[in-house]
Amino acid sequence: MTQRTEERFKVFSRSNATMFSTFEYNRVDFIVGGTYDISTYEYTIENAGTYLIGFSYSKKSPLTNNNFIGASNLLLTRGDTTYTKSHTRMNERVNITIISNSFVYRFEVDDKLKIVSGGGQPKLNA
Amino acid sequence: MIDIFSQGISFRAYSLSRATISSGQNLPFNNESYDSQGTNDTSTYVYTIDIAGTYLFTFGWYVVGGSGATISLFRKCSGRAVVIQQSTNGSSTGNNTSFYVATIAECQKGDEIYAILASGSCRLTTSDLTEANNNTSFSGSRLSS
Repeated sequence: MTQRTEERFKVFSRSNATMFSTFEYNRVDFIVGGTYDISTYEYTIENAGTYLIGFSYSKKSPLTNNNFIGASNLLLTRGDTTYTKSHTRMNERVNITIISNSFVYRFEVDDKLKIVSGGGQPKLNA
Repeated sequence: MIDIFSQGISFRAYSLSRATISSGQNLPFNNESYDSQGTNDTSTYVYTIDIAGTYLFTFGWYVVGGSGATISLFRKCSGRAVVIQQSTNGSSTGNNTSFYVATIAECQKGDEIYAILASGSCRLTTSDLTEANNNTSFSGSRLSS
């Protein structure tokens, strides 16, 4: 039987800045096992296992004649290669919408995770 | 993020195609990342429970512009199919808007789990992808007995 190893973390941001590259979750709520780099916003897996990952963000408010997409990519770097493992996107003329994702994946030791903009003008807070 | 499953019973399937899916079909997650029990069928897109327990299931999909969609996640037990979770976008959602669902269900050995596009149309990626990159997935993991 496989013994589960404790590993979990939660990070967040208080900024409502638009994210054009890596999502800057720059505050740590808790972290047990693994490592989170608060300058690169990247989490490194310490224990192989199947993880549930949740993340959420908002997007810039729509203008009269211009809708703003809010898209993101969950990136996995394994060794020297980086993959997109999930793409989240809101393309509606709506305001203060929370866009969320629930993602399950089997990770290996030293896998690195981060969320980056996938287009448009995503924001971490409305 | 939390490691709640370790490397126990789980599967994950995905698609590389942005093709529009028609109603009445199972969502065609036809590639696998992993399948611990070997019971996920990548031709019928049905996962069969090998060991009873409480499971977490997730799936994702995208809106086809101008089209509504209703997707039902079914658990078929002893020949009787029951919807355990639905996902829908209404009627005026922008093209390629994503929807992700996570739900928990108690399952018995032999139960079949699958997601059907009950009405409308949808897609599983926003563009055709190459292997190892994914947009959405269909996954299940056993949480407890």
